[in-house]
Amino acid sequence: MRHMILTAACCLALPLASAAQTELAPITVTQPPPENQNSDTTDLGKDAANATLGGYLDNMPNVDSASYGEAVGRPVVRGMSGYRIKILHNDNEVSDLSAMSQDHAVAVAPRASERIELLKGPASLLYAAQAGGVVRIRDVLDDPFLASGWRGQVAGDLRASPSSHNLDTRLTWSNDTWAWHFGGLTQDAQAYESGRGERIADSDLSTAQVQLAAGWRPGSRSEWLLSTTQLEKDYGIPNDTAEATRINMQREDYSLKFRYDPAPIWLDSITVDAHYSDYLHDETEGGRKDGLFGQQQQQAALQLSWSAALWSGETRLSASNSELRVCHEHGACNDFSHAPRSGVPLGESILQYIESTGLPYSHGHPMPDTQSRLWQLSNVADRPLGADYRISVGLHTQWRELKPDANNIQEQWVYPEQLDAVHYDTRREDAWSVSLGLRREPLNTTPLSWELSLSALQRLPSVDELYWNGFHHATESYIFGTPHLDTERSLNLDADLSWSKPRHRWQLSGFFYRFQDYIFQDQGYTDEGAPLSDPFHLSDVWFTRQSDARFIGGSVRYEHHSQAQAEHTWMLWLQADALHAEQSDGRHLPRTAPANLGAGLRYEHSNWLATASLKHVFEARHLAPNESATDAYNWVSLYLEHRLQRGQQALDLWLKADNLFDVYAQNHLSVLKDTAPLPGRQISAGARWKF
Amino acid sequence: MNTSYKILLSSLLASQTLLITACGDSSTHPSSDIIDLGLPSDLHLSLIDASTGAYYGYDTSSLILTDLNQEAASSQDSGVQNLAITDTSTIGQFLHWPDVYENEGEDHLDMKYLLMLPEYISGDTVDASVFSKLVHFHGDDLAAHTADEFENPEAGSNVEAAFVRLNDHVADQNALYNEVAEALPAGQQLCRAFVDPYAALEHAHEHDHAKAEEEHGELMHFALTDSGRVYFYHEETEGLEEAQNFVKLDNVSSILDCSRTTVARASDDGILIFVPDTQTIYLVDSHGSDYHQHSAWDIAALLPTGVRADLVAILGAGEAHDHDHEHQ
Repeated sequence: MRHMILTAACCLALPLASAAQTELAPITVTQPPPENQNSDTTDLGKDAANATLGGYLDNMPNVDSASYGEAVGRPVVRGMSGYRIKILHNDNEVSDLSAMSQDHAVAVAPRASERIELLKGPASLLYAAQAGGVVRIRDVLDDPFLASGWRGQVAGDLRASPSSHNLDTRLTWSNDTWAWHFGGLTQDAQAYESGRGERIADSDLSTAQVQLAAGWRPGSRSEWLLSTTQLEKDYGIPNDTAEATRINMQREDYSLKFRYDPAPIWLDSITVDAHYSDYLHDETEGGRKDGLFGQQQQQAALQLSWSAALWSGETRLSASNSELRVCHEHGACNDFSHAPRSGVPLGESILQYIESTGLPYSHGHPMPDTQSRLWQLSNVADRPLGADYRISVGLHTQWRELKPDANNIQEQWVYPEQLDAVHYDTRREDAWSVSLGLRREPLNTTPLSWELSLSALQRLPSVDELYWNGFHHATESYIFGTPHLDTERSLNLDADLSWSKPRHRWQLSGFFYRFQDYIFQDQGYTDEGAPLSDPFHLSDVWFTRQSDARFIGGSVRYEHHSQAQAEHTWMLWLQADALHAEQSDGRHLPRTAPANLGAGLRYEHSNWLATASLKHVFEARHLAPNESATDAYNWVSLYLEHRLQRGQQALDLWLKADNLFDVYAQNHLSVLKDTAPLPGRQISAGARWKF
Repeated sequence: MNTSYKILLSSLLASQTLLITACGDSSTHPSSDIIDLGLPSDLHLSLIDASTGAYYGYDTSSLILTDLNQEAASSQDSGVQNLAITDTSTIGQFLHWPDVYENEGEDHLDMKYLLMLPEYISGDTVDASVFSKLVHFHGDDLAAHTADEFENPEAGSNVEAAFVRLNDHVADQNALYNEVAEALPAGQQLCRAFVDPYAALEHAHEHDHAKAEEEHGELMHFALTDSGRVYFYHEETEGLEEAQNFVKLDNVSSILDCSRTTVARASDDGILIFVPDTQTIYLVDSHGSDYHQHSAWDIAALLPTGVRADLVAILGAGEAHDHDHEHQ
């Protein structure tokens, strides 16, 4: 990592030429429709339960965090998890493996970002066709030329027990021609305690991130940006193994972006983005490297922002090539390798297990090295419809080629041809998605605005859903992929309604998603009803299955504001979320977020800000077969902030308490809810200097 | 923003960046004599390159690899000096001997190995004319007795008693070999049969005769075939019964010289198998269910460049428990 950082730094340390004063024409970028949530990261951080992306978004309506200890929290939006949510870092897909398994952290540091957007409906189809939409993390790299001169932030905080400290700094300088950005972040947290005072072993984590970028505007119509982001996370897995299970993750990204503002009126901008990402994480138990996951990805994208007649929109063409490799070999996963071949028949041990158990158990590398090539073409556009409405359309098509290569798998564990002659054949498939939206604009004449979108989406099964066959150490589970999964199809109806008066605001959201061939992991049981165990590690066995499914849910939020001109301002809010998820046969889907009810107060006076909130999470009672219930709990948080302002600079001093009453709480969405309950009371203090 | 602020910020950013990058590479470089392969602890491996006589010892707990010829040359202890291999023409095969002897009314197990001469054929009776040295631990030090110490044993001497115990073991191994060979599926040629001597002794201690007979069936009988398969048998009243699916060792299609393979105890949970053809040591163990190839270690990662292992002896009881998958 150090070598790559230095290399990047050298590349970026180009001679700083004196800049000719040029004026760049404003570039019009289609803004996300208002139904999409766009939040300042600093504000999200005030309510965030932890430093994960899921922790930052957890308080948004119908958003939950699929945690796996304090280090892992992937957002679950309207019941959609894993591959049904695309996570972007600026405009590029985060090439991590967080959707593959619950223990894999999202390879981003949300704290270092500027804003986090939730895109759904037609707008999200520009990047991906996912039922849960797109989470877009935007930082300075998205627009380093935003303002001339120096700007930046230094923020740090401390927590006493369990101890943690975080520090992030970012510094950007730009003029009309050049822009430079440096950013660094370190986060360290010791193992936490639950509300019962139990120390949760292996719940510690540390994160480090460095960002470097250089931007150049050679003329008034063009802009270049070269950047790199290097992230390392090291965290424990608080499972129940006797020896510590840990994951060390590294992500290195390099990006070159070119934006051009052409002369034609109808074409606002052309953006070309070339991106390289190298992701690697190892999984150790007792210090032995038992697992290794790596993915290298090259992406290129061409994006056009355009307007014609009453329509305005964006068109995006992208191509990516990624190579995914996985190792499972006790103490020997220092690197990836090809397995030798001695000439014996392939897969004879698999055949044995088929004969003795009826299942193709394997103790080898759990999946073939797989190359994925993906081409995507998408278009989003909207236009006014009369004076009060806007209509929007999103189209997304993708074509994918998968090339599995079983040469990494030990000969006795290669899936034998006798069982499936086309198991490792190249797959070529496509998916088509469309989304329509209708929005009533918020107008001064009426307090009512609403948005309705209907999407028909197709999702191709992921590589691991198809090919995985083996043990996963960190989750202590044996998982069978299903090589002949069908494309998952969904019909998604989203409705959002807002009613705003100066002192009252109502927000209602509802959604209904109907899936055909919904892909999920289903635990295996014997005929007698006992959990199925794998023959090597006696771990629970999960099958990747498909079933029709439906999700229905919604949220309501009410805000009551004080007089806007008052010296003391306050806002009282109430919020409730509910979700119901079931298969077509009526069986509930596992780890469905229980309903919750929240209330809070926000008070501002002069340079002081204080917030208090109470969240009641109801008992999880709608359970999948053999799933255990999760008790209800109350979560109280307080936040106090004082701002010292001097010119353009602001120093915020803050104090925060989470789980003030130290209650014992479990996250029903977490596979580790029993061994890694939510933290007990945590009190932290920090300072944030913005300039 | 004034200049002092800029300097402060730049310093802060630079120091943070340096801190992060400096901490990024946490790898350590082991010293040349410490090699951590992750082999089960509490074992000693002796490895011989038959073509050169290179002779190495590896302690899986201290992780220290020792050149035994050099150690013999530099030692003042005659037992250690006897380790030296000076003539490659005397290198045949290793014979592992779990020597169970009685001392003060209690049975003790002292794992030993003999370096047999090339003319020795597995299963033959052993006397001082068919081996070159006998190796075992003298306290903490590996040491050897040369064959001439065992020539012409006097009647009633300790040496004679030792030969009796040794040849009883050879006879037991022959019986085990024949019993296991008979149980193997057609087409499979037995290379080596193995029953954990520590487990066998424990069973003999803990149970009276009647119960020992009953419990004997719990002792796992391992069978390595020349195609690289490991079969597992329990002893039942009507004979050996296959306990589970066979395990196929990675990259082994045929074993040319079975006498130079090794099967030894790794821990309570499994065994180590050395196959010279692949220059690999395999760990086959179970965690409450099926035995499987848990790990494999390339000998090249242990020995100096250019040195291969033709013979590997494994001494020790290994870990009492393999914690790799044990749950709290």
